Parts: sequence; structure tokens; C-alpha cells
Amino acid sequence: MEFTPEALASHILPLLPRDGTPVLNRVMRVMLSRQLEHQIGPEIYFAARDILLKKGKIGRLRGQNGQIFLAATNGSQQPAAAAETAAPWPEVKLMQPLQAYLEGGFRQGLDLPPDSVAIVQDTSAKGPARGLWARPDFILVSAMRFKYLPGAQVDVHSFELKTETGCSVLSVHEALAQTRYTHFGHLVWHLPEGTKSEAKLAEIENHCAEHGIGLIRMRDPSAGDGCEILVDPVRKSTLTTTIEGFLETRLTEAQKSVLIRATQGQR
Amino acid sequence: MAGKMIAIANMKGGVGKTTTVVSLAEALAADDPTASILVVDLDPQASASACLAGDGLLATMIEEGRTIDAFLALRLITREPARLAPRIRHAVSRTTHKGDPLKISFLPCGPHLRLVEREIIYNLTEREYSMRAIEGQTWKLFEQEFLPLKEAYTYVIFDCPPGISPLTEIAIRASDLVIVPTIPDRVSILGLDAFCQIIWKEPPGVLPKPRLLPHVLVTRWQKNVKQHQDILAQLKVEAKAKDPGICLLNTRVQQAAALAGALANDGAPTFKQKYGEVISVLDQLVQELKGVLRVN
Repeated sequence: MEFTPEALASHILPLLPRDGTPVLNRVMRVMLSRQLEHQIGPEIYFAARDILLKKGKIGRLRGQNGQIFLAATNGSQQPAAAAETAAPWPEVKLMQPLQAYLEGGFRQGLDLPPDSVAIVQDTSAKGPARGLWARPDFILVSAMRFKYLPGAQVDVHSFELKTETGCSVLSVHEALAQTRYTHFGHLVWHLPEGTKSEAKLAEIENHCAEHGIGLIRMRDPSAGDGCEILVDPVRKSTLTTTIEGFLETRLTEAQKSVLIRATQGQR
Repeated sequence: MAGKMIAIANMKGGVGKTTTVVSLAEALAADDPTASILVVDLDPQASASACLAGDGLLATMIEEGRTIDAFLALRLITREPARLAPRIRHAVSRTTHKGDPLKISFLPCGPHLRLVEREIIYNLTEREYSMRAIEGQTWKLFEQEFLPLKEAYTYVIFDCPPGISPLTEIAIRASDLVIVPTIPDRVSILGLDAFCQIIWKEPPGVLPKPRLLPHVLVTRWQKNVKQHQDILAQLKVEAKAKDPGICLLNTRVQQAAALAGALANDGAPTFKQKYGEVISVLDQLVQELKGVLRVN
């Protein structure tokens, strides 16, 4: 018996707790395998999960190889709706404010020349399903040319997003691991003022500085300017061929065209 | 290559048969992700079934008649053309290893197996079958329905109940390897001689002779207990005798809370979480059994 990702996706939804409790991807595969009496491989599972993510039917959380939960629907009493009133923001809700910041304030801070481009891409669901720490939440690719010198300068940044309670020293290493594909690694931490997690800030800051990882504090995701750079990242000497391979699988065709035009001075 | 059948049996109860079945099935699946394991529960207590499937799924399967007793009743009592393979439940394990659920299928036993076995004997006797003929009839059914499973699975593991029921005896005789979990204390080895005598020394009648000597697996081993040391020494002498009645496996499964806890776990643990410190012992057991079975 073979399943298509679409067919499998329809089996995932009824298995998710209605109250929005997240389920580990590993456990969901067990539940599906048992229900369908068929071993569900990682490729088809993640393809089905990505379909549901794209449709907004489910949300995802990082850690322990990922979890999924049932997303709120209009007028329902489901978890995301409940989470809105609760203090902690789930990672899935932080994605949009982070994207807005990367496309706005962060990009401006790069001080790129007028002819340059900056591409922001959500890569949280792109890349190898089983790779460890191989899926940054976002990447930002900037490309610029110079007035006197030949060639183009391309910088690739990766961003690892963590919730208020989900950040630890391990997160710094996660962001660091992602720089095997990029030039700059950033850890973005949703850390509102006056929370208990602030006690960990100094330690995380030190580890970021020690490993050359940028630290961005997201104080208030609901505010447009709620992010603050606490530590600047150090540029890694990642091999160009590795970065090319990474961009090949993470950018859309349209983004690749924009990047090629920018590096060749065809804008 | 045809798969291997392994029977886990001992006349005595409480020696760790079900623990061995479940942990061995999971260890074999974790050792080789391409291997497929089938556990056949021949014990009406259905402990292995409950450990592998959980109470809810087991109840559903019993309700649906997907049990070995239901199959035997249909085939040998009401003489319906029932098949065994469709009753097997696939992808049943809740334990994962390296992110993937362990590839274990199983065929549970319902609570009526003993009654069904008795009924088969009554029924066939009424139809003027002799005891030899009843054995022959049951063996024929085994050949038709169980032996082909070796083509579909890398390992078929039988969890045999205490004692020697007709079906247990057939499973033991048909298996490529019989593991006899034994606690090395005086009470636990009392029945070992009788068990080996009945199956391995008595004339087999219409049934085949077991292929290998029984392989004794020392369970709940406590190396600091003198009685355990003494009994182990006796078993070693027996295994090295000129005409040995047993083979003694080198692996010793120690008394470990992790093993008892593993069977009680009803979540979806990883293999490492489930077995913890016992993993190295299970790995040693798997490699030793593969050597005995000449796998790889």
C-alpha cells in the first residue's frame, strides 16, 4: 500500500490533539504507522507535513526534531487562539514578525548600496528532512557590486528563532552549526522584558560572542521595531561551493534569477 | 533469503520469556533497519501482545478476530478457509530508533487459545483422528500458514506459554532456534531437564526433530549471588559435556530495572530511552544469535 503526501496529510489532522497539544514528528510517524498498518518513511511524512504547514492547518515547533500542532481555525476554540491570550508565543507565531524585521530594520542595518539586493526566505520547512540542524528558520542573502573593484559580494545569513523558554546554550550551537552553509549565523530570541528567562541572557550572550554568532533579542513581536541586535556575528569562511549548493536547494527559481542578475550587474 | 524462526520457551513461568521476546524483537529491529520482525504470541495471557500493541489495539484485534485462536478455531473446528497472514498487524511498535518506528508486526493471542486447543482435540477425536493424526493435522496447518511467513519476515519470534501445548511444541520443533530463558536458581532450573527431555530426546512421532539444541539464556542474572554462580557453573558443565543437552548462550541478561520498566512503558519512547543501560546486553545478544543462526 503506497500513500501520496496529500493522502497522508488527511490522516495527520485527525490524529492531532484538538486542544493544540504539540506532537513530536517522531511520535506522529508512530501514530500514523500504527493506524495505517504501514511503515511511514520520513520523506513522505515531511512532505505531507509541509502540505499542511503551507495550508496553515498546522503549526510547528522546533526542538527534539520538531513537533506539530493543530492550528486555530476562524472562530474555533483551538490552541493558537488560546495561545494568543497566554503569555508565551509559539515559534510559529513569531515567524511572521521576524520576517518583517529581516525585510525591514535588519536589512536597513546592513547599509547595502542602492543597487544591491537582499532576499529573505523562510527555510524552516526546506532542506533535508533528516539533517541535524540543517534548516535555519530564515536566511537572508545579500548581493552587491562595487564601484571600482570587479565581481560581487554575496553574504548569506542564517537565523535560528527561539521562543522565550526554548532558548539555551544548545541553541547557540544550533545557530553555529547552520553556519556550515552560510557566512553569518544569528540566534533570534523572543525575550520580553522582565521574564524569568532573562536570567539566562548573560550566559547566552557570552556563548554567542565566543562562537561568533549574532544575537538578536525580540522584545515585542507585536511592535514593528521590537528587535534589538545584542551581539554582531563574525563572518565565517564557509566554502563558496557549499553555500552555492545550499542556496540551490533553499531559494525559489525567481529568487535565484534575481540573485544571478544582481551578481552579474544586470539590474 | 528465507527468514529465521525463533521460539522463546520454557516449561516454567516467570523466567523472563515475554521480556525476552519483546526486547529481542525490538533489538533485532533496531540492529538492522531493513529487517522486518514478526512476533507471534502463543501465550493466552497475551502479555507480549499487550506490551507491543497496548491494551486498546489488542482489544480491537481480539474484537476483529485477528488472533491466533480465532484463526485456529475457524480452520480446525468450523473448517472455514481462513488465512493467517491477513490477521497480522503491521507497523505496531511504538518504539522508535534513529527517528523511525521499529519495523515490528505481530499476531496476538486471544484469551481462548487453551479452550480452542482443547476443542480442536475433542473435535478431531470425534472425527476419529488419532493423537498422531491430530498432531499431523496441526503440523500441516503450520506448514501451510506459518512457514511461508519466513519469506515475508527476516525474523519470526514465537512467545510460547509456560508448559508444552500442542501448538507450542510445533512452534518449537519448526523453529530454527529455541531460546530457553532461565533464571540461574534452583527452582527455575527444575523443569529445564524435563523440558529438554520431552522435546529433544523423546521420539518426535510425526513432528520434525528440532534443528538445534535448546539455547539457554541466563536471565535476571546477579553475579554477586552465590546460588546464581553455582547454577551457572552447572549449566556450563552441561553445555560442555560430551553429549550435551543444551547450548549455553554467552550473553547474560542481568537483573535490571530498565528491563522491567521497558515493558511497562506505554508512551512512544526511543529505543535508547526504553532500554538505557541494557542496550549493550541486547546488542551482544543480537550479535550472538546472528552468529548461531549464521545470519550475515
